[in-house]
Amino acid sequence: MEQLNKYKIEFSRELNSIKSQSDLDSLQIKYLGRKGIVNSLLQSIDKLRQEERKEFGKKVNDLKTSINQLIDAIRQELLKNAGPGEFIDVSLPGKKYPRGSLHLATYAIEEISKIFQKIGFIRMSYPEVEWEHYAFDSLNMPKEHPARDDFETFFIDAPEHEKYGKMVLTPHTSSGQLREMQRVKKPPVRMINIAKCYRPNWDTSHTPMFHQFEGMVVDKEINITHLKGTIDYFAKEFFGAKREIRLRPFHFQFTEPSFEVDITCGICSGTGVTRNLQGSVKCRLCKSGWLELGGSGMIHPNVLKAVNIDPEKFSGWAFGIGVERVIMMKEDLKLDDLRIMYENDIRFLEQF
Amino acid sequence: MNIRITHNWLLEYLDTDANPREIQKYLSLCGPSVEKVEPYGDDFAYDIEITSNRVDSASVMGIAREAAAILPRFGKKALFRHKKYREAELPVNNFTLAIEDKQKLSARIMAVIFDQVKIKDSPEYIRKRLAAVGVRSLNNLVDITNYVMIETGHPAHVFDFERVKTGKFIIRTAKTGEKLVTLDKKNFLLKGGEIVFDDGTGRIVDLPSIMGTENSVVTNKSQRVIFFIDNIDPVLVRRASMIHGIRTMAATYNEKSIDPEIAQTTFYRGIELFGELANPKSISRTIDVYPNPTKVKQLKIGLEFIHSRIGVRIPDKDIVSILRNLQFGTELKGDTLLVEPPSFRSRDMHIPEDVVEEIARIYGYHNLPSNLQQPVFVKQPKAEEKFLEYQSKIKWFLKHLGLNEIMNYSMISREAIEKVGLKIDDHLKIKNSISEEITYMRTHLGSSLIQNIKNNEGKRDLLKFFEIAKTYKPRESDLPLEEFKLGIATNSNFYDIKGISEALFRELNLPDYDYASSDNPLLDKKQQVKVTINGTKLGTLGTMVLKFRHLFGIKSNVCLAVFDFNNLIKYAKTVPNYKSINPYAVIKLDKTFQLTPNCAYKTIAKAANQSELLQRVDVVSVYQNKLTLRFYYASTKRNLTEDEAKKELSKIS
Repeated sequence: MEQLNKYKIEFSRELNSIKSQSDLDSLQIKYLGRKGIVNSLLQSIDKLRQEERKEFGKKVNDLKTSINQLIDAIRQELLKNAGPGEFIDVSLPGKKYPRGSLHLATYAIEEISKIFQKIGFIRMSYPEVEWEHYAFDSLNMPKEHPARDDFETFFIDAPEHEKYGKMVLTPHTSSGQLREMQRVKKPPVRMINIAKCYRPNWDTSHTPMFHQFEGMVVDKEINITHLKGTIDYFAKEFFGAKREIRLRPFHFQFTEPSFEVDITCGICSGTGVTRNLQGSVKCRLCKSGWLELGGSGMIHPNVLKAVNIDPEKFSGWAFGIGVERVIMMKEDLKLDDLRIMYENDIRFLEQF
Repeated sequence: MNIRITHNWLLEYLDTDANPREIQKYLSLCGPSVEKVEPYGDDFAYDIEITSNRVDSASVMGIAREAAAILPRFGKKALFRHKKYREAELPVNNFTLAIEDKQKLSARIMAVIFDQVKIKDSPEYIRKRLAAVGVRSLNNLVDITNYVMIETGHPAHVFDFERVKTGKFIIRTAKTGEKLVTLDKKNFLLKGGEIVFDDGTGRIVDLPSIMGTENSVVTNKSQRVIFFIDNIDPVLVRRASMIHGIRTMAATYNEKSIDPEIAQTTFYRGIELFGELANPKSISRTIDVYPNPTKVKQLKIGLEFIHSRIGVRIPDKDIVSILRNLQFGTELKGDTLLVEPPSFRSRDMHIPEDVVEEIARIYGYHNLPSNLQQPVFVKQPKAEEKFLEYQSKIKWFLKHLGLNEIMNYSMISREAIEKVGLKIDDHLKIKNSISEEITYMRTHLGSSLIQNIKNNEGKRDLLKFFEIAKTYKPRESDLPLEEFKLGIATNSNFYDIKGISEALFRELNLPDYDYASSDNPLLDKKQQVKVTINGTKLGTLGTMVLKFRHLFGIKSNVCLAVFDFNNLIKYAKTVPNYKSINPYAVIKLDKTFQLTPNCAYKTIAKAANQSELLQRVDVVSVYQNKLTLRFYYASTKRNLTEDEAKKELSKIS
């Protein structure tokens, strides 16, 4: 019985020195835990005489109840008076997690794919080392066409194929046009082909390898307004709702009519003029409000005939646009040397 | 090609009320793109891009013709002024030239010989205009040839008749090793196949259509001169011009197949100017060798076809007036349009679509609406879809692990191949490469990635790169096998690159994969493994051999992993198989082993896996080949006791 009183007094003393929730938790475990004082008192009941047991039990239970109540009361009080925690320097950076990077071209390619996926275009990929037949002949480019000479196209040192001609590195994604039409055999065609292309140019504005994306539709009753509408849709999705496009006459062997596609400049909003403190100045980026986006046109009937599609029944359009070009235009990257894109310098890569 | 002309010059052939800005804007929308217009003294200079099929418009006259068709559509007055050139009222002399063209290399030759010309400066208006369009004025004779080229669109040349000596031009292809000196006194060794003029003695007296030669060009003393126009094989002109890097204006014109009818306009305009500016005393008879005059093809086009290709219905009368303003003979018979293009358009008017383009562009693409075509479903092949989906997943996953994506050129150097011990003969070679750096198509991503580590050494302490790209494996009489690979390179250590690879396998939910010994010579014999699933090889990873590292000059360690992309994703799954949650207690036990070649993790794990109660094994630490493992034991039927678990563990020695 004295023992009980002793614990009572000790508990009160310990309770008075409680400063925090965790002190209180330890105290609670000390007295009320599985191996705590209250439990061991209850276990010691066996050693008592029968007649003492009842009273002892009641007293221990009273003790337990009062400990519980006191702890609860203190807990409430601590919660009420809880001030701020310890000082930590919250301006220190958090734990560092790795970030890594993707190549700029990857971001653009993924975005372009999604934009065209939404209007039912499937993405395909075709050989990068290709026969002249697919890269030129079937695209209505005669043997003596300048694009086919050594200065515009890389040729592979391999025997010529008796039917398909020489082996080349694809100088454009348009060879995929023939491959895709051959695959589906019969229109409709709705394709986006994004691939590496190669040309023998290596200077500040050319890399010998680059990426193009080629859009292509073949179906019944396809006309110029569909090409215009699709490129307009792409331009607004990729560059922003305010951008406008225009088609200008141009010339390609594999399209007729052929167009150059321009987009309004994002810097001067198509006005050709920007304002600064001195007043109005010529836009540094564009030619009078417009930027060239790429080439396009209605597929030449000879191209359709080359894959046995009847140009009387079907028509189509196609465009080819440089991926690196749209990246620079979209992000307003001021690269004075395009070659940095493929130099793979970590200080460049890690920025993206 | 780009040409420059001036506004006042243009007005000689165009009667218009449009100002230079309007001309720039409207022409760019419907015809040649006017890239720049800038004031030049009391005149304006235009810089205009001409597409390769429209060399007929690459002149003052050509632009005037385009403007006459385009400007009226914008409410501007514009009429093409047809000019008649004055004939020279001079005595006729008896000088002549013999032209021989057995190889049929020329479509037309026109020439005339003037006697007793006066060489002097050109009048101011000519000098100013030439300066405005970027041509240097030399003397009246040379200036005339340049002036008529820009005004009418066909290059011309002037020879000293006496210096040609024989009065004879044999047009032939050059033999390999022949030599000539161009008029700017540069020596050229001919490759063979260039078209040259031979004076009949074997002496080369011209590199026609490209540049004159030093031995026949007019000098300050010239008195008897040949005004000469040649229209020769454009393909051979381009080839010679490109091979020798002689990119004259004449060459850029002549390589584009100019209508020989234009030569005639140029010729008569030139004669007029010679009469005005060079005071000749007499003129010879005209020499005109023109065996096959241009034939114009008439085209028949249904109106319905025009409407269906353009997408809107353009009124019939607009169609007719557009074509007539372009100088196309045009008749509408019922629903059919009969069109006869002018001679200078005969080279790009072959099919109805060509005429559709003319109508649509002059009508104005900006006047056409934007429509999306009817949506249809086109099935994407499953393999393509899977490839693209996983390519994206893997790229993002590796990025989030902290790796940097690389894109290298597909072409590499001979050195890059030899450095990693591969054989040159196993690679496709580019015949006409422009640099040693990009001569072979790579069959392996390793060499480029190692070079990436080398190039970035010291820029950051830790380098972790990956690249997904094609390799090109040559095949007998076929296109190469193009296979996508995933390559990873780090400057860390074996366990790092193995960890990256295993994290990726987990992300892809690959089923049980095996490590087998591997013998890639690029990798350290003792520090490399091959990854396989059901016998399919996914790839190899390991530490680069010191010898190769030294070849690249890399100070740090280099680790490399290369996977065959399609094998890597062959067994990949979006979501792994579900395992039911075990409600019973798990007993964790640690044990330390001394690692030896015979007691490796793999052997220990294999032995431990004999126990049906083993759920999982974790590596706690490795220190000086002492491996501490944590074993997780549990039963799926009841709570296990610690003793039972210990008994299981004791079976592993």
